[in-house]
Amino acid sequence: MKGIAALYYDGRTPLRQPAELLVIGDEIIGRGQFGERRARRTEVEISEPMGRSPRFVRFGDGGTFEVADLDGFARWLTAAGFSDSPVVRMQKRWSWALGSLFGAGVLIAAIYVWGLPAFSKLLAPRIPEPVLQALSEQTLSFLDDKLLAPSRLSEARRAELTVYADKILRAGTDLPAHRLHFRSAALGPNAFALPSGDIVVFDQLVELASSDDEVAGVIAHELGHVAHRHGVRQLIQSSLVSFVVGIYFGDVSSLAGSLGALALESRYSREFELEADAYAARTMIAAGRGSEPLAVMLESMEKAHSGKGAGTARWDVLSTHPDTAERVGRLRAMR
Amino acid sequence: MEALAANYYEILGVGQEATLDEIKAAYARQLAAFRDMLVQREPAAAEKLVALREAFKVLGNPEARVAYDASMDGAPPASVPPAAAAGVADQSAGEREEKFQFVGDGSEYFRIWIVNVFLSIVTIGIYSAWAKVRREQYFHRNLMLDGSGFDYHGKPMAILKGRIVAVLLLGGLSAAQHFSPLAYGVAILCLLPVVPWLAVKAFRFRAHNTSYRGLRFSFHGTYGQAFKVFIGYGLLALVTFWLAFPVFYRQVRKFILDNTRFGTTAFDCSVTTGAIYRIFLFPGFIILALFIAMVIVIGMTAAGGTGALAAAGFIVLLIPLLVIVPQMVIVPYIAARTTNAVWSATRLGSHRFFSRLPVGGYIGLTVVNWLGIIFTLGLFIPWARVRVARFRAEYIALEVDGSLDAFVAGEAGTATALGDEAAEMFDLDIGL
Repeated sequence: MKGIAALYYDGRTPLRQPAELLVIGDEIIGRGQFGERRARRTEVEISEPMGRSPRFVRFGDGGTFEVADLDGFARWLTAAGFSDSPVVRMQKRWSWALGSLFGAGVLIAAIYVWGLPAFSKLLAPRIPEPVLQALSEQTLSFLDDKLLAPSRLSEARRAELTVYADKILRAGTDLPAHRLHFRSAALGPNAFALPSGDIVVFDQLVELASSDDEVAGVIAHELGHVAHRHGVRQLIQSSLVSFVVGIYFGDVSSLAGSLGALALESRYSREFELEADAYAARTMIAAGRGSEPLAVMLESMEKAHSGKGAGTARWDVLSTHPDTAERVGRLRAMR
Repeated sequence: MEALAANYYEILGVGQEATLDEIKAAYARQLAAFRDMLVQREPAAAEKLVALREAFKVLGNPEARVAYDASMDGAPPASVPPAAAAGVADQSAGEREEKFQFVGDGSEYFRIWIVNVFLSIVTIGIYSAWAKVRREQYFHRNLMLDGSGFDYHGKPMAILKGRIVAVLLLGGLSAAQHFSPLAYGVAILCLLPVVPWLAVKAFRFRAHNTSYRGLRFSFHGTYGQAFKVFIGYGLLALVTFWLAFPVFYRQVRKFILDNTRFGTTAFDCSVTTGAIYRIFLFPGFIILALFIAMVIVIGMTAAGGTGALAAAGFIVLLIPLLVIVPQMVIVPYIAARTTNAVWSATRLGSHRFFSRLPVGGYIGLTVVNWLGIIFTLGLFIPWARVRVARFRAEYIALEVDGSLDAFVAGEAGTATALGDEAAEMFDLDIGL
């Protein structure tokens, strides 16, 4: 078999020495003015083809042969019985590249849609309670500083609502620990739950409701988020997304990462809402109040928010939930 | 001391009538002898090398040789046929400029990149270590100088180990950031003294795993030096409200370059603080102006009244500007000019680097890359990387003094990948 021209570097100086590479039996032989180098074919490392760059045949002690004639070297390797690794063959073909692109797209979508929620559901119950407490306290005190004002409802009214809601909630099964808070905010009629079980109801929601049952319905909905650990699951998902996005985009990380997190954090997903609705409906039905009060409340909240018109600052948790009409329909079907 | 008194012919051990080929052969022979001296740790080795280089620089160049011969007392000029010698002389003697050249191709790297992305996802990230090796190999081997490519020797298993530790570290940090700012603050404070250590590890790993013509690079910076640079000068930059940032920047670049060696020959970066300050002056003013505009607008919003709504709308416009302008214009402006300043002031032994990146062209390149990446949802990334590598290589050159053959390998060392991986995860910009 024919040899192939190469340049030899001894690994101790950058001196280029003309050489020839041969394969005889089980051995690779490089020879030139420097003499002869021999090694078993399994002991040399042959670099993968990378475009028009020269390829290397490396001996164990650092001696390296550099081959510039790429086509000739490919023929030489084939004749000597070497073959490319599967990954190299994939990298060479456009069909594999496009297949990988498609496969990567499908996998990312599948992980995002199924993998991530399943993982967060698995992990959420394992987050220790004190962590959730600390986290929720911070969030509430932050919101109190920036967005929320003390409730203007009378002490008696607040106590009355708390006792009433508590009576209804006790009728349900699977009741997590919870505390009820009242606040006033310029954000319209609304309510939200923190992972620790702290539920905050805005004065504006109490004022909008035509009965205490409607308020209790919303509180039951928020408690549904707590019972299903939606808040923690959301947090785990968004943390993971921003982490992965951050690594992928490298220098764009902080921006893309926080945008990814924002896209997820700002809203509970549709499934979460429907789950919380179902929880609320079960509780209200068990308490003998039916699902109608929550359905009515959702409709009036929708009306209240859309009535404010565009251009106003809107920060709402309930009204922009997907398809109020559909949720109301489902609630009424559960009656 | 004998060498100093001898004439160039005696140093090389040839007669005055020697042909150019004989002179080159003699020079190679003498270099080999010099290496033996070095191995036996003879103290005169360094002087001998200087004398050898000096002699070859003159005698290897036919024109200089004629002048030298004429200057020698009473000695007849050697009869060198100038026409025959000139062609070869260009290749091996005197000073010549060798351009770096990047021969990679975007669509070819795209195929490597996408196959590796796919395999990394399928293996839940484990394959990413192999993917990194392929990426580094692609960008090292396609970078050519004087007809030879660079090479990358990082081992996937080492990178995987480093990567796992770095992911755990960063994952823990980001979890702490979400769940408890206090724990996060404590963790960051504890990690601060670790940063110089990671940096040294990172530079060592990168240098150690890079080779050119079979000879490895190496890094010899110590933890003490790194602590002084990253923590000392870093804090200085912080307490002076970034006014001392150029000082910090220069220290970092000098720390990296001055401690990097090719074989036993060290890089030497003599860039001045003034040169770096001149570069940061203009971006400093722009960022200051944007900052002041921001403060005014926020003040108006806080003051309330009719102006508040307009100001709030203005913030929405201003924030993208604050992100996009620095990323698309200021970052490449600084990158191009600092690359030029630092590399043009850098030597490797007697060889000098030159960098002449055109600032406008580099900004244009960056803007196109960003738009490409955004509008293709990241698929343009491989082309963008190749474009940057090609552009930088095109404008950076090495002025070779004599020949590139006269380097000698240093002691082989080992390096772990943890620092490099951590640096990559934490977005530490330590690229040269």
